Amino acid sequence: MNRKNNNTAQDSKSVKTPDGIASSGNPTSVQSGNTNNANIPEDASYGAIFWTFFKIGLFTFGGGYAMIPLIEREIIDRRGWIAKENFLELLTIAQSAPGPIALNTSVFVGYKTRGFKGATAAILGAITPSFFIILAVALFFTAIKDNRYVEAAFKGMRPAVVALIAAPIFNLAKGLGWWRILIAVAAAFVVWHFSISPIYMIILGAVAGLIYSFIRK
Amino acid sequence: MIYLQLFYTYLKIGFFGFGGGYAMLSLIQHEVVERNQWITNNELADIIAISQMTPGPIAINSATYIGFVATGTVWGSLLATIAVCTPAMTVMLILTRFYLKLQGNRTLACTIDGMKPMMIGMIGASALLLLTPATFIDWISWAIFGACFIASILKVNPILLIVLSGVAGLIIYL
Repeated sequence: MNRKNNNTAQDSKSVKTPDGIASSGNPTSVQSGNTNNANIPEDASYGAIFWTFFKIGLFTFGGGYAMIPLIEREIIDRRGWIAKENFLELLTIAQSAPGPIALNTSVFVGYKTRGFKGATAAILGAITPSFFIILAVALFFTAIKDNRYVEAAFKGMRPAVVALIAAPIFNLAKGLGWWRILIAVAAAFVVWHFSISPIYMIILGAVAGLIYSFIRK
Repeated sequence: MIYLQLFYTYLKIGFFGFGGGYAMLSLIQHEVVERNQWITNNELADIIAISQMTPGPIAINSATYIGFVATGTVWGSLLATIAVCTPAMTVMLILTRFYLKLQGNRTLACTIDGMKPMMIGMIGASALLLLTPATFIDWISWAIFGACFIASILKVNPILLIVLSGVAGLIIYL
């Protein structure tokens, strides 16, 4: 199964014109809707999709980007559920859609393999481990959070959390250009200082991009 | 009523949560701490610390946790978790389905491009909003912040940093 898919992936890579990528990259949308049965990998039962994403969900520490190498190994190399060329497509879409990247990734893979139900199986698999772990933490932590040992440990951890959030900003801002950095700084300041909802900033950015696309046609 | 409010709030967070976990935090802070006051800023920082050490995205972890704290029941957890997943699932299905048609679309590309500086700005806002006198209690807090900041840029494992600062907290503040 694996080898078969890898071979087809390689074949289509050798004819890599823009059209070649498109037609090999997305078999389901070339045909309409439910005629995509022919493309379903044999081992991609709903149970297998659920279980695969359950495992990925269980071992993804530290957010969406940490999940990417796992997806690559489990879904592409081991299972062959989506082709290697689709990986870039996956990353682009998962990062431009709202919501956690880990979640978006599971919807994409689930949908590509088994349609809507596949996406549901994938998403349920991905969130089940963290749901039960955090539920246990919530039950347990609310009871012990005033304990002096716990409180002391968290006093040390809180500034560390702020540092972990702040550190990636510099990496992300590198390719932006100075006026976009200025916009980012202004948006951060407005949300922080005036308690304005980040929703307005996101909408503002989207509208600005939209207007730009019409002006500079 | 609290359930309806919880569902609506996390639906909003899911729908406008562009840019992944850290960018979503400013929105979570705004909705959950400032507007609805289900938890305090300190508790949010604690959830983020816990979330770093447990699997799963921070947005979903916060939904599960706050759903429980706000309602006191498991149903609240379940409801908030479903709510935060719904927009992501819907939008992703549409994008996946129509990716080929949308791929070369300049309008869409520009719109997403326009949101990019905002997403990075929102990460900055998340950090600023958590930087309060309650989380930074003395100069030691700043020392931990500085050390973790540098270590994080040098790609030291975040789980290790959280655990080490927890140990530091135990030694210093007990």
